[in-house]
Amino acid sequence: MEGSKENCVPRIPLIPSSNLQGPRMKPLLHHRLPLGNISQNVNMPHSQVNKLDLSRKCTAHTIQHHFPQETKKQNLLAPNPSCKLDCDIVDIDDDDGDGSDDAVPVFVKHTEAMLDEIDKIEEVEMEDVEEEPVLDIDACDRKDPLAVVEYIDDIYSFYKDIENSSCVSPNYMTSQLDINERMRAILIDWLIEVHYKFELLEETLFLTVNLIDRFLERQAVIRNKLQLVGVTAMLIACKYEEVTVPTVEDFILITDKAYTRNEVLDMEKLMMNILQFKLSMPTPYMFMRRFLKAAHSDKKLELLSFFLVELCLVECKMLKFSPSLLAAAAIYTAQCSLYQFKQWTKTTEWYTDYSEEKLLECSRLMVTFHQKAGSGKLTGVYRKYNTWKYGCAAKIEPALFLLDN
Amino acid sequence: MWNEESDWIGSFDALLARLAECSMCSRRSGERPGAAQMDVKILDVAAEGGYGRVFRCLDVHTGALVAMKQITMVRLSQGIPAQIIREVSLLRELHHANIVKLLRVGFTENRYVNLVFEHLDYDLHQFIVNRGYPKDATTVKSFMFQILSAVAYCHSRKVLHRDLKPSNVLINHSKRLIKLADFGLAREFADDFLYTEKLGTSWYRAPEILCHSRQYSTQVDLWSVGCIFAEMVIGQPLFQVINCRDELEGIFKLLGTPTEETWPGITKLMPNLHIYCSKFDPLGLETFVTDLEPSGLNLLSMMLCLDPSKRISAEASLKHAYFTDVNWI
Repeated sequence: MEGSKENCVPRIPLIPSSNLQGPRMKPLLHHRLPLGNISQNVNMPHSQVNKLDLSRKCTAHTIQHHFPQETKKQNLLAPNPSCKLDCDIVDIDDDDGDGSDDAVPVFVKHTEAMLDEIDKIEEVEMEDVEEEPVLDIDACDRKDPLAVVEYIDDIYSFYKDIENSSCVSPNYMTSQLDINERMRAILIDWLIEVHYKFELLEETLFLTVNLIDRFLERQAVIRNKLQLVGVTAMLIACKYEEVTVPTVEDFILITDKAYTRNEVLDMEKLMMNILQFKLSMPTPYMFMRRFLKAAHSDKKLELLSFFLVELCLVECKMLKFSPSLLAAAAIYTAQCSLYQFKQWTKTTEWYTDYSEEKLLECSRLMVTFHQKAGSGKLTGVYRKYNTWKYGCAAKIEPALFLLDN
Repeated sequence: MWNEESDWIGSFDALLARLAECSMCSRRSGERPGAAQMDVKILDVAAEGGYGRVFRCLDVHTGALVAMKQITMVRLSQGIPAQIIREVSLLRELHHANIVKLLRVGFTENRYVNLVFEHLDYDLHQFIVNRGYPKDATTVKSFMFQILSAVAYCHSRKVLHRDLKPSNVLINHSKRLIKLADFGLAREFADDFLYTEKLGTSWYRAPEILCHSRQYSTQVDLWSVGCIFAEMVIGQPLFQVINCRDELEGIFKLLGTPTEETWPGITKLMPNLHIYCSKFDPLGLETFVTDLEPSGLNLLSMMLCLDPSKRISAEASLKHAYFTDVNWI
């Protein structure tokens, strides 16, 4: 095995797929990768290691990464291959040069940064397991103060715990006397354009839709005031999310002066009362950020995922899915569209807490929305994602093969 | 406490008319703005500030002491201020022994918003100034542990306080219980977000904010906690003690002017740093904070670290050796 890459090998505990049931599930077994299967995870020039011949079962020095305050989850995660391994392999000349099967001793020279994280170096028996590792997506960000790696698991498990409280009944419109699902769709489609025109943050749009649905679930509204509910929800969402908030006048103008300032301000008070000031609600956006990181997304995947999830905002029937499921399904569907085959890695499954099977119903609906996004009257999302600013994501072919089975 | 509105009304005008009857959004005005419909009886004014006033009140139902914070809506034309929307919505979701409880919210037609909170005896600023600062190490340690517990909880809920200072730390005297208050500048944070730079009270403002960074995170709160820690020990704001023209110069005098080695990225953040101030050698925390045990000084130095990426977190602070003596918890 001339020029093998298999000597600076972090020990990678694996999660057997049978045990992979989500972030809070502790596996019964820890399998370790055979050295032969890990080479692609270690970036190392061939020239650095000479005359290494490792049999299928062998003993190797491995590095156990130790992270301060590591959670149970982190114990089960492999380092992310996209993160540069913080160690150098030093070539040692082979004195006897007899080409024997003995592995040439290799010294691992650790940089100072690595020394902080090494707990122990131990000899381990490597087993022959053909398993895909779950990568630690936060390994690269431990020194980034903006990434709050220390709290990230707490934050997202909290979001998962409370996300159902932000959901509404998918058939709440049946309780409305004067408005229907079609009117809601027209409103949301228009608000997506307003959001684009005002150049607001993505999270503002998702919060706006959440506020509208939670309000309409609890209060009957006549149709000529529905647009007032929409712009007021966006005003409230802006006040919560944005650094610079559009004025009340801006929102009145965007409705072509259909409402007065007093109507907007009265509606704001009413909505805040009905919603009981509950604005800190998980939306698909919050989960998208995390799940896209787990999917190691590029800009193309990110934009297509957001295109798909925004198409869902318009559709009342998608209210039956939780925000985290919508986010995960959007990314899964986007991957299927881009690569034209099903792709859902162990890492994305681990961080989203959803198996591919759980996503399929939602994903298939997304494909149908993608298919007809450019046709019909409600094309706000399609036109937005047909611009260069949004990478012309709307032009990407839908993953029609998902509808086949 | 929080009004449940469940019945359906067909007419939208009737719906708007109900605003007058909402306990949370009442528009009636009493003799004292907002007192009657908030179900409280005002006893006296507890504090006044730029935002408005805080009244000490009695809850008419329970007879318990409560505090009513009455905020003046400056820009009436823009509706409910963003500050109030954030403060109320965040406090609704933050449930912790060391965070003040919000009981009720109400609006009055004459430009006030009333927030009714549980009552606490005084704030840490009053405690330091009027009662002689907490000279015994146990009280300082207890207060610090409670402040850090609340901050760690906020951060685990993705919330930055952004205005931590002694006057926003309330104290229950009999229980020696600490509660964080005033979430008016608080907000949920994100790793890719640009925030406003003009916030926090200057003596407690983190150097990255003073250097006009608009990308910051939980570390800004830890800097403020460090400033509070020092103030509890020395009896006055740490950076007020240092003779300097502004806060940033005071920080650099105390901790040394940063370089690219000590704070990677500082030259990008503040390209004119060498013009702005002289190169100071650090005076050292121990010069000013004298009555603090070594482990406490070590924790303080980790909180008052110029480079945010090296600054200790609230979670890690709670596990620091300074808190190993846990008899008082």
